Amino acid sequence: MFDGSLRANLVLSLPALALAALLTILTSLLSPAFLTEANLGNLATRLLPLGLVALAQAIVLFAGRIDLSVGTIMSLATAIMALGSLNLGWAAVPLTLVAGVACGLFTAAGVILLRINPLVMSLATAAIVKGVTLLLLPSPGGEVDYVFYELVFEREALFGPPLLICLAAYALMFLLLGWSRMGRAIYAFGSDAKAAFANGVSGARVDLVVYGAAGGIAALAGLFLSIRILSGDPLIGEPYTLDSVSAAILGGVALQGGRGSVAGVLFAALALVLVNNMFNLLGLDTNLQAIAKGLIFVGALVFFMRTSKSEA
Amino acid sequence: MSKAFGRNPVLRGVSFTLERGEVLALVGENGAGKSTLMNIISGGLAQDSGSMTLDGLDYRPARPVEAMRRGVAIAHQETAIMPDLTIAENIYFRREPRNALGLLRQARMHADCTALLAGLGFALDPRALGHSLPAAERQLVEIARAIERRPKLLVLDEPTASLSAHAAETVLALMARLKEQGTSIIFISHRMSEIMDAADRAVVLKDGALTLEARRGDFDRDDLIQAMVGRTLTMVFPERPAPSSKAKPVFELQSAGNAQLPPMTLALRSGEILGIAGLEGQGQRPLARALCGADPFTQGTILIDGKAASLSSPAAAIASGVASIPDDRKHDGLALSLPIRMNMSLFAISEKARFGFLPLRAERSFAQDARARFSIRSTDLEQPVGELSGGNQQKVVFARWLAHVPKILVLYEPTKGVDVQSKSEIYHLVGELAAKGVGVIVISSDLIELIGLSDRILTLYEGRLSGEVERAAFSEERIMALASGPADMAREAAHV
Repeated sequence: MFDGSLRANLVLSLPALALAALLTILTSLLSPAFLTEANLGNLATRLLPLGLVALAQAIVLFAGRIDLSVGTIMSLATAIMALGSLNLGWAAVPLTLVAGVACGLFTAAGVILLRINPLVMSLATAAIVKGVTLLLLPSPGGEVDYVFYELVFEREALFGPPLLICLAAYALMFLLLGWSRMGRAIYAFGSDAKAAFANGVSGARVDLVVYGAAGGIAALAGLFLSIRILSGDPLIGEPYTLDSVSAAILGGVALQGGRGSVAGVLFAALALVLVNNMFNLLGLDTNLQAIAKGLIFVGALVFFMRTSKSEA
Repeated sequence: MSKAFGRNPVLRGVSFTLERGEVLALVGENGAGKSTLMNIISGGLAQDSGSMTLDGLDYRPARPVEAMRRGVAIAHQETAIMPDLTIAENIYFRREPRNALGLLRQARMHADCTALLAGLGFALDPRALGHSLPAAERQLVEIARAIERRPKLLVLDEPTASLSAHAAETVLALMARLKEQGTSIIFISHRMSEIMDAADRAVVLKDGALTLEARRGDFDRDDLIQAMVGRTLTMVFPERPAPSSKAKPVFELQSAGNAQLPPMTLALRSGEILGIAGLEGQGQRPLARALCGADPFTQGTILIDGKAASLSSPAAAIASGVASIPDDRKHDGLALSLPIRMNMSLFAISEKARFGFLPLRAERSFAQDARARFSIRSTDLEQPVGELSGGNQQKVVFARWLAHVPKILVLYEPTKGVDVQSKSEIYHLVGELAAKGVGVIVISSDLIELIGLSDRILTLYEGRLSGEVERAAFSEERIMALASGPADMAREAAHV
């Protein structure tokens, strides 16, 4: 079933799986509060936005690109929800997602039409989106309809809606990336853009698809974040940009593109959430958390650079 | 058809016809315009002027995918294999079998691929990833992919350059089979024997212009070489006396190797030009990079003038008297946007520097002399190197490296993308240096160049020296056989 390059990509996700398992065992040994229903529900709640934004980043990275605007798109999404959910009701949801996709397409347009370096273009998008968000919502506030909260977060349990939504998004992308021609073209483009072009891949279409999808998924991540905090916050998304890259790399996705699986990204996102949880349960300084995350990022980069070198 | 890159014309009014079921050999030296022509035919480049018709209809593919739709498939020499996809995924890319839901049928595709490869006679594993393949296997994948598209016109860009003699035979037999089924084929080759065997028609390009179009039987090897080079070979290559066999070895490797290069032993005499031949990807690059100190030898002994020497970095190699001309001058040799003057003086005249500053006058006079000595054709010394033709760019590289006469000169593909006039000048320059006692190592994929220039040729196979031929015994067939490895040598011996 997992044939061809898919198998090689799944192998790359094993280190993240091992790390997530190790952290689970370690934390459950260190803290009796870990294996309680409330804590597991809390884990799933925290996994949802991080998991989604990491998925968005991974799709872009598979194509050999990077999107540094996913965090600000999340912030924008919280602002739109906070301002719109009470008057617009359910219509605020598609509006938020369309705004996210539009941000992604804007980045792609700069890359395709103006030939701007993708990393730089996504930074420019990030700056613009941040400005727009601050115009809409200068400080944390607004209100998100409690109806949404009831639907998603009310029941605190491991296998509640947050985890199921996250898993569904990953399953869908796993299928589309592994078993569709567009998915294959994304991997091919990231693996070697020139070779993919010679074989008939349109680079412009790949850019539109990956940045558009990433923008939409990042907005979805922001949407759930706003539901959880029941308000908007113009700066809340920013740390998620680095976390998204971190989770993708830790999950075995190559910065150069063409390698890795969303399965690994899910395990890596879980590992990052577990690190967070472990620090909280053990009552460690939150600043140490940031340092630990940065070190994990560097460690992942070094680890995967080594393995890809030894193959070549 | 005509095409120019910047100010350098690469195709000048080339016209020819190819019939259904015909095999056309496109012949010419490196840089003659063959690959540019193939790229235009396969939609990778657009011509500046001229037109093509395919089956009587106007044909002007703007992108590779349009050429594919019209039934034109190309197997590139610089293979377009996606490194993170398997062989099967590469071959069936964008034509993958799908189920009713539009999802890819991976298992079915790998099974189809197994059958396809067996039918073609290629011993490849459909599940092997692109980046794990050696050059020869990448080439076979490229050929299989082009054939699987069932094209009307199949373009093969040097299909056999990286193949052993046995694998090359398989490919040539395949071409004959396709031709019988009505496929028209254009193939580029440097191997005279396969051109004579397989081509119904030969078209020769020289410096972008067509110099010969002839049907089978109307041309022989000498006609092809004459048309390729524009004159007889003796005028292109310097006339040199054989180096004295008593000359001392100036450079020796004793079991020297590194992670990419198995230990090798060789000796180069003063004044000798030693050619290194081989199929593509047999260790030429690691050897060239080890000799210039970029990826140094990590084991064994290196002797220069009989004394132990170290080539542990490019700076150490230069200090030991080893000058190296890289194959990729655009990446490893030149700063394309800087003027000729600055490119030449990058390190060549650092001893003229005062307190770390280089007097502009000294730099200018050095560049002036070098430009005259190497007959570099440019508007002036301030012209950016990127605007020069390939031949003149290469002469700038030579000028920089040869400000002082080195003990050993290492040349790696010295005339890639260089016009015939500049080639001849470069060959004569190398000849002069050898006459001064410089030991020269030429690593090249151009057999005509090696045979014309060398006193002795060694062959590389899988990173090891697989054979040695002295000048008196030079022949294309002999060298190809030695370069094809032990299995092919045994087959060769059985034939004799």
